[in-house]
Amino acid sequence: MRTSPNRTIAWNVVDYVDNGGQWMALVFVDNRKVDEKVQNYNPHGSVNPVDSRSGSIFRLDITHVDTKGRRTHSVPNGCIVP
Amino acid sequence: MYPMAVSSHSLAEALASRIDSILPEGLACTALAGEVRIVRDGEVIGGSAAPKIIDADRERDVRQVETAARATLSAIQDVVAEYLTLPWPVVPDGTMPLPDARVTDGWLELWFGERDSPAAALPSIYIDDL
Repeated sequence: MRTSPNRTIAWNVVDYVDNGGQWMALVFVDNRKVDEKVQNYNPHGSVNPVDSRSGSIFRLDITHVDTKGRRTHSVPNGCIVP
Repeated sequence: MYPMAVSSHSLAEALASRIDSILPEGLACTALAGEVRIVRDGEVIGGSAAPKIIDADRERDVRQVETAARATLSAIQDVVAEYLTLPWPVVPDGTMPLPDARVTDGWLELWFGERDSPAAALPSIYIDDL
């Protein structure tokens, strides 16, 4: 995750063991879902400053099923938007 | 609040038709099951499932429709820019403008850049038509 001077939050997810397969990403700001991605390549995205006010909590919920069918899930996470 | 009939499927279809109208030649935008997809030569090269975020919104807050539209436009912007290997759309200083969306008087307005002088503006969507 990275913030920019215009307060956009950019994020990216990589599986260094097997990056292929199916991905699902749910993006939350203060428990409000602000984006969803379902795709066959590792997801990345950005959250508009309008949806990520300073002091809010940014969180990703990632599920990945790799090319061998192994399912992994992101650990609990969260960042305070500066 | 927005009408009960508004769903991720209807929002995705409306967004796809507007996005399709501004895409570079060779690309098309379609909707399927609440997702928006960019297609080139019959192959899906990327897309967004962001319209689905309104399905969990029990308050039917128009703010969530705006957020879904912004997130969709952002994802599509990435897909197109990566395809072109150029900023898209582009502003005079060569950077990519942020997408934005706002509901005003029942219309969902969509644009990239500054609202008063957008780098690209999409045809608005009348919420009651969704």
